[in-house]
Amino acid sequence: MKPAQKKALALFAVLASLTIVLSFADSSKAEPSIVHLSVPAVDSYGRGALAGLTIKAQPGNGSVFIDAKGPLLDENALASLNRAVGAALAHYAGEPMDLYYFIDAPVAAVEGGSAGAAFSVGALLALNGLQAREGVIITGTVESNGSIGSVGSILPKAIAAKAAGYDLLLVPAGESVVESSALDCVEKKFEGAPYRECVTVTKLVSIANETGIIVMEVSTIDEAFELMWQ
Amino acid sequence: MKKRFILFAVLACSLFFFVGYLSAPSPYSSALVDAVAVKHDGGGVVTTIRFIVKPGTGKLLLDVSESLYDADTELSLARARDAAEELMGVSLDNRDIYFSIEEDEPLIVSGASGGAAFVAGITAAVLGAELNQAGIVSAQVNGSLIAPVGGIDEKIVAAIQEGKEFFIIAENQTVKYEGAHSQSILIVRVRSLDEAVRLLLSQ
Repeated sequence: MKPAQKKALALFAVLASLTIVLSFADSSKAEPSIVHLSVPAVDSYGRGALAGLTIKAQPGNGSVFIDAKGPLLDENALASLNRAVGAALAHYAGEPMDLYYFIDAPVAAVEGGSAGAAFSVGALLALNGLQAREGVIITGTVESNGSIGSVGSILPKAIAAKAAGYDLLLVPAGESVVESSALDCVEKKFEGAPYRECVTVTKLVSIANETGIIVMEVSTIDEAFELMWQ
Repeated sequence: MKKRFILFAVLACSLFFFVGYLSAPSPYSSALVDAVAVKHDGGGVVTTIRFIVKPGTGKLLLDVSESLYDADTELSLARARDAAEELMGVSLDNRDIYFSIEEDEPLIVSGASGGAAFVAGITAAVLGAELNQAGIVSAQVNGSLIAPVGGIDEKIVAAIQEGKEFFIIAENQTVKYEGAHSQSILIVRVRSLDEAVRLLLSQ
């Protein structure tokens, strides 16, 4: 081979490998980690329902996006989302990632903060490239320090989760039992005539006994994450 | 001789590929659009919104890491996307649109009065066109028309302070101090969304 040919061949090799390396670098940059979760919710009639939540993490500058074509999130729900992401990022030391939240809810609007804990654990799963353990579902608000706060309507949420095949429900501390009021009546007689005397009693009902789903109380995002990753 | 020719051809091809790869048009385009809002203290403020368009699946991605939005704003943004599609006659189902507010201070954005500005921003980003920075619009989108908004006097004052030269409003918008404002800025009344966007796209 003549020196000129060798030179040309070497140049070709360099250019070809550069092109290949560049295109690979480009495609690996866009490798996202995607997590699917369900979130218990209640519809406007107070019935339990499950909303789908997909969270995507990919290298970026730490921004958080929602899809404005999906259910509308009011400013409280967005503030709860920001707290959830803040709490998750406190446990994450990797390279900066952008997070995308896609919500598939049976409602037109998502209000309040009871999906906060799911937003936060989901972010931790996606940031770490992990998947959610099957059959586990969580309800709870979240504070920026990672503590999980109380929510309402646990019973209908548990019923919906059990019906959808979930077998472990994570709830905020103190919420595995709920107060339920009922009439407590005794038969009495007054001068021979029978009558019923009733009082309203409030009793504690165990969500687990009532629905058949296993219920565990969690008070921080850490505890929930340990039970939810696989 | 033949060998040398083949070698040359291979070399030329690889060079073309390499140069082609480097100079390929970026798969995304962006546009900045100014919108005007009323703060809690009642004063108007001009904020800059960035729209980025990338190849995708029709998503409308709202950056919520700093500023927050109410449901009306989200809905008006989703409607603005549809209106922009209609206006351009182009489907955005194969593109993702990113929306972010370019401010240091986080804002709470509420209401639907950004609608027409959103349509202008999306249109400019998709077409790769630039918006005329001398102009600004504040109007809701109502089908192919634009509709009045609240707090217009405060918004016009903010636009004047920002050095804007013309302000586009809906045809039936009432302005309390129109005479006074007109000393400092050209108020343009427009009926259709199409006309409003065209005015902002013309240099």
